Amino acid sequence: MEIKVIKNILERNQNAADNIRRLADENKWYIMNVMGSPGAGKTSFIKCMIENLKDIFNIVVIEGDVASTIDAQAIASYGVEVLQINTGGACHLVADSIAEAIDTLKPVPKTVIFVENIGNLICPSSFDLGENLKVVVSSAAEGDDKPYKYPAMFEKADVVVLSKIDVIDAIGFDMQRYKKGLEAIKDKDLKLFEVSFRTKEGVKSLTNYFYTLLDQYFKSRGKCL
Amino acid sequence: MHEYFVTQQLIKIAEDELKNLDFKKVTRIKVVVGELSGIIDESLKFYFDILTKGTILEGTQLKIIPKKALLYCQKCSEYFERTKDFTCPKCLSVGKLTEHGKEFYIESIEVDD
Repeated sequence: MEIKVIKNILERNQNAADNIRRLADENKWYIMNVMGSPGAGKTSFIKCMIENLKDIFNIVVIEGDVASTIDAQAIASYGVEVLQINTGGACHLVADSIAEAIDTLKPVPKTVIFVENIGNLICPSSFDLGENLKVVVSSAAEGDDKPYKYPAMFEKADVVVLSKIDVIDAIGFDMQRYKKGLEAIKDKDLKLFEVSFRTKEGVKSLTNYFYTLLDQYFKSRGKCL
Repeated sequence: MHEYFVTQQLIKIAEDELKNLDFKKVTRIKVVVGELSGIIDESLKFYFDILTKGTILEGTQLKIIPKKALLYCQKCSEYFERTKDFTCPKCLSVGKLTEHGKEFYIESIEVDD
């Protein structure tokens, strides 16, 4: 006897993510899922956002790492609340662990929650965390072929931050090829920022974009609860 | 590498489906896996064998049905299989990714009555 099932295997994670999205909406939290390879600049991106926006918005950070608290300590030194999740080997964060982290952090209404996902371009793209925005940090140092090799990750991104642009000439990064790959993947408007967190090139327009985005989000949610 | 987590989910769904059913043995579970789903067949099978030991699913064959990724060329209004740089083999314009290739679901479970 054959029993027809047709059931999405990631349903449980999806339910947990939907629940986070509902909670975030009620509490006016804005959740950003920051993904990318190890060393692409995810922590630098979050640090840059904290540095430039922490006086305007309330910010907390959930740090995902396989092991260690290196990034969490670096972020904590910027004076924002940070919670470390060590997955102990798992290659991505799941919605259940984000729900737990949020429950521990108890962010006040109108908080920006940055989630730094585990560094890789495959697994995190399959798991919805209930976020408002997916940011993919992709460094020029990794090469211009990444959109072709990891299409699922780039397709899901709302914003792509191409970091380490100061090494473009040194490594012969082909910007046209990279952009062509992104355009092929993305249906929605492409939001690509070319930055170097080291030389600060492009950081101003990146910051302005996120300032406007968050300001509009919180304004649209009213002045008080 | 996230196959461990997803295999747990797969087993849970199968066990729920089999609850309250009268059968002798579960023989086969068919799972549809798209090329772009990020799931590695061999890892799925590896974890499935380990995680089902001692359960009603022990010894069940995990049959993977692969689905190719298809891109869509707006110019030709046709689907085509993924090429190295997403270029349409007919007109050479850049195709768009579609839902074909992202599947990951249990299609059916076969049991011996």
